[in-house]
Amino acid sequence: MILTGTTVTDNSGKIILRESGSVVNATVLSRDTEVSLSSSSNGVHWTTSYTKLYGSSTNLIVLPKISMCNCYNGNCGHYISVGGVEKYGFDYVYDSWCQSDNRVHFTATWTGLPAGATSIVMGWRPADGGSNLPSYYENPVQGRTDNRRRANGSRVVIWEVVA
Amino acid sequence: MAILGNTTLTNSSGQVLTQTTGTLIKAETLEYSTRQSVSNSSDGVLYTVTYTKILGATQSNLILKSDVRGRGPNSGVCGTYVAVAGNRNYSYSYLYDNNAQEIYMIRGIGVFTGIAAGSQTITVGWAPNNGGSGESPFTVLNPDQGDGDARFRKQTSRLTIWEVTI
Repeated sequence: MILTGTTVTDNSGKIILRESGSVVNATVLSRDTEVSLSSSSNGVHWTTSYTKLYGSSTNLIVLPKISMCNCYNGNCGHYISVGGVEKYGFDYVYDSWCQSDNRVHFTATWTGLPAGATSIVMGWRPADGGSNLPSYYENPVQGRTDNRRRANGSRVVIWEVVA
Repeated sequence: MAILGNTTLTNSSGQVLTQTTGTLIKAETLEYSTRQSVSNSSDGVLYTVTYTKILGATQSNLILKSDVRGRGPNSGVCGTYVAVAGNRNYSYSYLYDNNAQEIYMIRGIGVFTGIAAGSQTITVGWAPNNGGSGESPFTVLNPDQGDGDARFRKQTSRLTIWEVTI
């Protein structure tokens, strides 16, 4: 089998060949600060960034998870933008028992992004332009609205892999 | 071409291996499929499995993604967690819905740091913040085919672990 690859240099000057599909970097971004959310037609959960090591020779596989509680609207049009490229389908399961923990989950791949600082934005923008609220609290603190609750945080796992 | 930081490791034969920071060195999915009835508790354990960590506490971290499955509603909130070597992370939550026929999934993504090399116990459990004893996330872990609903297929819980150099 012949694989395509890319070369990198370690800090001793040694050249390493990475084959297509190889992970060249794994990073986890964390956020645990509680945020009270408000209704919006263009809401933002979290803006963060990742420093991409290579240009279009690598792809980013991104697995975000946003923790919330006390849901409000059933559908909000969640999106995640990586390097300015938005993808929808980053959605949650609505439950009418509103004290429940809730979360937004997603997995997708971004291709063709340049090296360097890459903005990551997670938010919601309903297709009909209406003002909506996914949940009242993001990253709820211990005991928030229900004294059984433990603090919940949000994470984004980023896999940079050779294209 | 990028220049990456290095982590220098020695394998069991004494050979020096160079890994760049953020390198994936092991990926494993741990499955647990035993059906179990779940009792109420203020500090309950659903199940334990083990993971053999290759590198030491200062050499690698564990990224852990959960998909733990049950049925039968009980508590709306009860502080579900995943613990590695006793270090609990409570950001592994489930969505409650008062529907006895629904699958409940404890899901989350976390990072575990400072874990020693070797065999490490991973625990999935719950401990409500208020210490209440009448709690559990659901009443059956890994329901069988037809378990409580003839439409059910057998469910298996999985934890996926990626060990990554620091």
